[in-house]
Amino acid sequence: MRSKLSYFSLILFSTVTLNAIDITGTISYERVVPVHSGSLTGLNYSNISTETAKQITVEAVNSSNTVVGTTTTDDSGNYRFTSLPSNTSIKIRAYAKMVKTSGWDVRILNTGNNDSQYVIEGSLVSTGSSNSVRDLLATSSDKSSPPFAILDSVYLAMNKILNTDSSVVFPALSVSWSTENISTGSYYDGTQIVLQGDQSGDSDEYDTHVIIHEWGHYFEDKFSRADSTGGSHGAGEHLDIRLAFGEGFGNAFAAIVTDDPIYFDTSQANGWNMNIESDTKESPGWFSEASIQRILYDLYDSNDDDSDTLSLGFLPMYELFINEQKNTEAFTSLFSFVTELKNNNARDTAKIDSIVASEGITTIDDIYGTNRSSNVEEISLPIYSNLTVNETLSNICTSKKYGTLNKLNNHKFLKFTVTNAKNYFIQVSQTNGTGSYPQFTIYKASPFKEIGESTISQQTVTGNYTLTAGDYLIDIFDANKNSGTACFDISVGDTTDIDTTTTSAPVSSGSSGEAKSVGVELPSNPLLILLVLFGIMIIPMILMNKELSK
Amino acid sequence: MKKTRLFLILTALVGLVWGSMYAWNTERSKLETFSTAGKYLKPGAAVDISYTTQRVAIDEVANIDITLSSGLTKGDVSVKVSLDDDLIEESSFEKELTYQLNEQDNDYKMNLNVSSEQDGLFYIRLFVTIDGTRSRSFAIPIYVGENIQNKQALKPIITNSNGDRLSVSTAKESISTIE
Repeated sequence: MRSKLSYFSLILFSTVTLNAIDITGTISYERVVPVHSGSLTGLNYSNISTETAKQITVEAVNSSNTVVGTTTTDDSGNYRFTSLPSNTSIKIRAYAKMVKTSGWDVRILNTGNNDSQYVIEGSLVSTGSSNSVRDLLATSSDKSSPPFAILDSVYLAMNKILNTDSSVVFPALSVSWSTENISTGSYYDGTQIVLQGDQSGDSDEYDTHVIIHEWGHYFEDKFSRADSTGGSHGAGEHLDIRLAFGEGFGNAFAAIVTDDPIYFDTSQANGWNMNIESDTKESPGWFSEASIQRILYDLYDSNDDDSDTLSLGFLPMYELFINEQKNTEAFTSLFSFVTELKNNNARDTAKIDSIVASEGITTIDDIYGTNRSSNVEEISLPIYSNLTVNETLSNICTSKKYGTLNKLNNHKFLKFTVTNAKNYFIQVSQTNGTGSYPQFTIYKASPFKEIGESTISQQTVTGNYTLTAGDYLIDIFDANKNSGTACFDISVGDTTDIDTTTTSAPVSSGSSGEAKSVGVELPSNPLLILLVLFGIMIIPMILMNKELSK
Repeated sequence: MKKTRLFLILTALVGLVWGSMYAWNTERSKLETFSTAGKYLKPGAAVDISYTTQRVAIDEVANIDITLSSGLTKGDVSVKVSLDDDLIEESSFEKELTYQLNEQDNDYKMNLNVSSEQDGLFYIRLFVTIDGTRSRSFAIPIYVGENIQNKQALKPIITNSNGDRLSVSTAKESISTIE
């Protein structure tokens, strides 16, 4: 009896073994290679390289759309399914997503199609009775390769972090890309990266530096801290110090990850590039994203040049980002970064100062950037003004000399100390006219936290906040982009005896941007104008006339 | 009785005004405004765009106000304007224009009037370059007619066994057997 059972088991085992089929293969995608010509960079669709899709999810799916196997490609794009049923119709499905438990979760979503996940599929073919190889290729011609190209750029950035800190866990990230993403621009908004895909204009799927730049914003947001205002920006501009640092870091990070200082952004056959390390300096300084990207890249790279004799690599920068920069008591800027970098690398202080000085920036000694001497509008300095509780600080001025919204001097920064926890009254009041729409935001410096944001009001704005002991920052902003230079008196009082009689006209309690119009706007449709006039004037007149005639 | 009538008249008045305002707001909601301010944008030419566009019927003219803003106080800006093939230029405008940035006002305003004989989502494209180096591309959507979703609906959506929506492309595949 035992002998018969053993014999039966052997037959069963042999049958199962014979019926187990392996399917292996490689998932690849086509990348359109950019062509540089001087300061121009464009896409050439006849210049295509084949790259492997790394760490992506692959499924084996049967004719009933049931998943019979799931695996992940390795860093060479190879996958393997074992023990698939023989003589069964199976297709291979490859996702433009990377998922690793306690590691990462990155998905490329089709915003033009209900945020669906991009996949490529092979054909439904019998597994037969032998192991087989099925290689899948996402092509550029049918636009199936862009999601995989984007994912590969993201993985490149992630690898830079993983090579520095192997224990890192990346918060989930979705990247929205579609050929329908035409008027969105490319940006990171705190929840996702959005990339343009305009196949008749600006598309970014093959612009590795652009993708990594935006991923750099994600890194700052999730692992460090970014106090940037966001918005449009470019080299040569005098930017808000927070924006300048965030964007300069994004550009430098793209060059650091790729070890390629040529940053490019294509618009099909058109486009442009810049050399992160050696572009011509336009209006360099602590307010310039171009200066900051050159400083950060010089701190990192191993190339020595005139003022750069330091090669820190990425580790000291990474550690600074996730620690000191994340917890700095000032706003995130070049000043906080360089101050802490010097504190952490005392031996290299002179070399760091040399790199910073090459951008016309005097030695940075503290996180507030005190003792600046730059060729900037006079009201730019000091960058932070000290305010004392129960005293009025006068002549703090914003201006539009360098542009609006996110440029230097659109925002002014104050710091003050609270010694007693209680309710405080803050007032910002214009002293050189009435045209401004001031708004302020108050932050606790340590641990850094936004406490509150005022409404936007004409000429004077006030607010009450319960503050505990500690240091605080105030960011003052004039939301009227047409008001020119506006100067303010600012008071923080622990009593309510500050003059509150100045009239203010609340306009918006919104948190950002432009002041809303306070005037009454007429509807654009003439029929609606008539309807409004009819409703307001004619009907009551008729009804009243009737009533009075009774 | 008279008080009741007056009350009813006032109620009707309030209702009319409210109704008018509602219709007004509904009409205004057809306008679409957009600004790139406030997002962590990729670098490019130091220029920002704001515009107000409209949803219009077939053959109805869309009146588009565009403002290009720059934080720079000097530089030569060149703008190339192009329309999707199905957009009709209702009033002529320059397709290639240049202007200089200055110390005072760097808001450059444009007004374009376009229409289309077809339903759909179309674009006005602007390619802006400052001093011949950095550039930035913009595209302004024009919604025409009621069937603007058709373009997207043409693409197949399937769901996998987990219920996830998938956007499927056919891979170029090679299969070989291992003997």
